[in-house]
Amino acid sequence: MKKAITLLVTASLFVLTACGANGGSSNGGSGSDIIKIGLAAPLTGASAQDGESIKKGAELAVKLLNDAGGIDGKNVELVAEDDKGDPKEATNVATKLTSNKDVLGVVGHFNSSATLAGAPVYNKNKLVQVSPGSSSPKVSEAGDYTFRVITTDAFQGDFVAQWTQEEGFKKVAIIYEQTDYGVGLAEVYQKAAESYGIEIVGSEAYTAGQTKDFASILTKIKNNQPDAIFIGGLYNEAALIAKQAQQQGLSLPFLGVDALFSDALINLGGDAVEGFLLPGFFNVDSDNEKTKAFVDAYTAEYNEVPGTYAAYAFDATNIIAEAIKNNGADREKVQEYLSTLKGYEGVTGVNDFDENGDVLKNPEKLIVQDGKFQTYTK
Amino acid sequence: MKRIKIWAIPAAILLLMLPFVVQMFDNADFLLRIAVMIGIYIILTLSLNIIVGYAGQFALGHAAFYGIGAYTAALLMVNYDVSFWLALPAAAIVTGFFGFLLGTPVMRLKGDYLGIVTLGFGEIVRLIFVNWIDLTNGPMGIPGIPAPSLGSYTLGSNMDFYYLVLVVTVISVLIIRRIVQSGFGLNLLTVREDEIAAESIGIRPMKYKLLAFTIGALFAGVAGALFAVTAMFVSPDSFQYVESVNILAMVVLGGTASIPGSILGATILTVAPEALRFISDYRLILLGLIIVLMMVYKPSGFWGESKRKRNFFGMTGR
Repeated sequence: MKKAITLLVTASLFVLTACGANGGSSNGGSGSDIIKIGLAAPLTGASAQDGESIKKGAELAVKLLNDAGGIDGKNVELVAEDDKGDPKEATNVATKLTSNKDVLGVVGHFNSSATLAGAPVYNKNKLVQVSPGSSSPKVSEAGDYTFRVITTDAFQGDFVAQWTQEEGFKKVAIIYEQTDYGVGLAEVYQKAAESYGIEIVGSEAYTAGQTKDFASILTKIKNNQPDAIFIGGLYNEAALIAKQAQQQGLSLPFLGVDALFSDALINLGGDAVEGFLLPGFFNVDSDNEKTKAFVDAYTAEYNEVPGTYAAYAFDATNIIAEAIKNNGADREKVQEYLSTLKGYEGVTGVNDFDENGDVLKNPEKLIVQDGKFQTYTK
Repeated sequence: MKRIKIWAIPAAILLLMLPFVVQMFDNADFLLRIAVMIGIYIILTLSLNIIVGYAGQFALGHAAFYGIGAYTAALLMVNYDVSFWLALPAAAIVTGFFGFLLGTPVMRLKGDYLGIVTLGFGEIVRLIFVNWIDLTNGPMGIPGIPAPSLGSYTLGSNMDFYYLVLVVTVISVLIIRRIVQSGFGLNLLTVREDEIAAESIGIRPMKYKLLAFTIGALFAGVAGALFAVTAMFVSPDSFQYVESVNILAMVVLGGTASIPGSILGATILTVAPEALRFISDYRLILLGLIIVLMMVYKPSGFWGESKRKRNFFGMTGR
């Protein structure tokens, strides 16, 4: 009985302190000297490699901002959280970041399913999220506070379809991965290609990360005699497909999207990926001044060449910082600024946001030649 | 309700006041979100405990039932504008039915074989979520699950979710407690210990194992429906094989065939990965290490069944 009374007293004390403290905590941290930008990326799990790259890009952006004196004399701090690429974790991370009143914008998430899972939380709490890697068309409808610096698959699918027509390919086969990314991409490409008068002669799916043997898929496609193959997937599988096609004596031109634009494609694929056609937003060898400065700074900092997603994260972080700089350190003002942002020159091109928070920017046409990506000229 | 335990009153007060207590922290919403996940996992862990702990059936596909519940609720609410208060029991019934369906053929299997079949079932269900695009929207998942409303009030904030989950969890715990502490629970334990002996005294093992599967699945469906409305988004990624393992780990780490054990296991394994966030990349390694050490030094779990006062242990001692 004594024990129970002690417990009861402790519990009620606890509650009392809570009620007392309640009054003073709601004013938030607007008076602090540090501006916080959140980062939500898959730092562990299957996409950890890209997550790491995103973190490095964002960290570099923050470092350069602080070296230049911060925002209005205030230091910028990056609050990095791991979402494992798992939608459930993404909701947790989103809640964690939104409940930190000092966070004024979030760079993230990477996987489209994670971005979609986090979106209701960000939108409800009026905190801007700028995704560096979610290209699913679904993200367009996610809400007013959801932005991205990567173009949608719909945009890229259409771009590549038009390019396919310009190349004069009449019959195209599609190989895509069975994920939200691959399915969405294959769908928009097929629709766009058909509207340009291209015939789709076969559409085959594989399981990302599991399918290693593409022989049966390639044999089927071979029978349909396409002029070219469109790959709706990532570089690991694209390299494998190209290699196995070469072994089967299937020498067709390949088309892909921005996600293939990684040195890993060439390292894994060797001469089998020669002639791959793909759009790229971030070209390491670009002559653009901003891009050059970023590549130099990144190489000096991490002793490696930046990947595509590092560049997207760098841009996303800078865009949020730009909004805070120009429109004030307030969550809703950041959104207001981004919703009308046009012509922001980043390292991945010129960024305009449309009414859905999707970025509009034109890619460069690239081809794999002599073991590297080069600007494509017909 | 003859003997309300004396500690239950402060515990109830604390649980009811928790949302106000956490308001003094800056990240109140995050803490409430974790509390919501704890509640959902308590239901999941208890439901699996009926199958694994009480009936002694080694099932590895619990995430499938969880997923079926979540998808049923999500689809009903998004496509047919069904109210959450109908979608919740509907999800439970549909999932329970699937538990019954799976249970019927596999009840003849034991041990590892049953484990493999349930593992396969979990994988099939996940692949259906991924590939039946017309219904489930495939890997893209189902966004925009509406918040439940109570009269004219919409339960939208994390605090509302907390109370919703608290109420459903407490009711679930009480129902499961009634079930396992009844003669039915005793029969389940008898089947677990020795099927032939059970049969010799008139307990049909098939019937009880099947009921355990159905009830377990039913409550997993309840948890799924809660997950769907509190996350507002479901996708196949949330119901992968690791999720089944995670729930099983909660059951085993907490203590099989023990209700306080399940509650402890679910709480600890939900809080630990979040609490360990500060060591970022190493958190999952550390968590794994803790589980390994725990199993080596205290294999009966945090609150094993030897602590139980009713059924088997307590009865023999009194």
